[in-house]
Amino acid sequence: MDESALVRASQAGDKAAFGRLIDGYYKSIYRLAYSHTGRGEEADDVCQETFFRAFSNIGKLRDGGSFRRWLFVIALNLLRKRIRQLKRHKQMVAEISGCEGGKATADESGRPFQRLSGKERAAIVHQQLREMPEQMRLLTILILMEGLKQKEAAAIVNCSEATASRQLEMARNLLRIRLQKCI
Amino acid sequence: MGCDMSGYDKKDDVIDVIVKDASEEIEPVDSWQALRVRIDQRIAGRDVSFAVRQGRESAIFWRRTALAMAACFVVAAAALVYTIGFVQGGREATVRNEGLFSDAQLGRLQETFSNVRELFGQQLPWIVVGAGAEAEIGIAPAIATADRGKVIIVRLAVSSEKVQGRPRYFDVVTFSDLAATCRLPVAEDGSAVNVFLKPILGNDGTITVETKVAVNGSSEARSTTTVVDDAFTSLVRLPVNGDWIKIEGIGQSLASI
Repeated sequence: MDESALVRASQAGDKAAFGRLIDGYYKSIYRLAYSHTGRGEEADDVCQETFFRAFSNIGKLRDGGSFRRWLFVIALNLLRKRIRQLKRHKQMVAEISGCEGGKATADESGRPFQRLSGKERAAIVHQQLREMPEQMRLLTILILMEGLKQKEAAAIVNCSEATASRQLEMARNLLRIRLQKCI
Repeated sequence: MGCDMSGYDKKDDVIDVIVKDASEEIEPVDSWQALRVRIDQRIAGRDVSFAVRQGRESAIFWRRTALAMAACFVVAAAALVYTIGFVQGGREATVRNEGLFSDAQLGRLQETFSNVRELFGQQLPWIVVGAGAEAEIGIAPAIATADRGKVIIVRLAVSSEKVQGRPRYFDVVTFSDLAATCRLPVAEDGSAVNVFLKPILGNDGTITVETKVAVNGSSEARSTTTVVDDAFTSLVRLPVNGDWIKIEGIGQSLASI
């Protein structure tokens, strides 16, 4: 059954169909939320809430083919709201900038980047992502991590495809420069 | 990860691989399967975020505990004042209107909750105050939804079918559509029940209470019941240590605070 059919079945009350939609995207939504906030518990909450809202409102989705985009927009709205709340609490710098595994520095042990463990390298990359401007970060996550086309990612982030292309190029350059120090 | 870093500064695809690999290292604190279960539970309306994580994410636990302890100073002081008033009021009320709200009690609860709410800023707290000076406070999951403009107080009357006597009263104050999850003592032998209580204030002013009560996972009772403010309505009845415990409730909305 393709995604549009699953959406239609979900709209008709088929919970198993919605379960298959969850199966298809819950890891992506969690990764998006984690990459954006750097906090597992926030990512967990956002992921649960995203699917809860999707389930509650799926009847309003007219185009089943746009389910993925719609789902990511829900998640992004929740993330932005959460980030605003955290900023208001002045926890942004203290908590979001510090990832759960501790702030990863370029090369604390003197080991070359390729000799670090996967988790260590991931921590460095996520730290660099979180230091990017929001739009650039989101586009990088959606396109490079989740494999979305630039056009679809641009629609989710609400910018033009040309802007998405430029931002992605800048993100690559930024990562190249910053990760260079780790190599 | 295994990407060839030579020539890394010349190729976008190397950066792309590094980023992709980094994303594949992301996983929930426990497991993907556990997260999948939590999503199902969230959709089913079970509010598990905070309670479940409480045990496995000590950082969150301690941060929130610190906040809760700070709030408890406020609650404890207010609860003491409230309890004295409640007990005195209760003595007068044994002849008529047993256990119903008095204006003074509502005022004190409103003041207490207002203080707690101020202390917690943008977060969503709830409080439970017992007639025996027990007080418990909690915070909703980070992105829980609730109607901040509506505050509801539900008074629970917990009684034993085996042991005759006055019920134990507990007042739960929370926002409309926000669940309070607390542990209530139900007998002198220390028996207690875990209570999930979510009141919802309807547009017509009616209060519907979703209640789930469990005893150490061995027995569970649940209901969704409309309550009123001038007579107790039965919410749940369940077996506890060879006895049957009955929980009834009355509810009233508080002025927006």
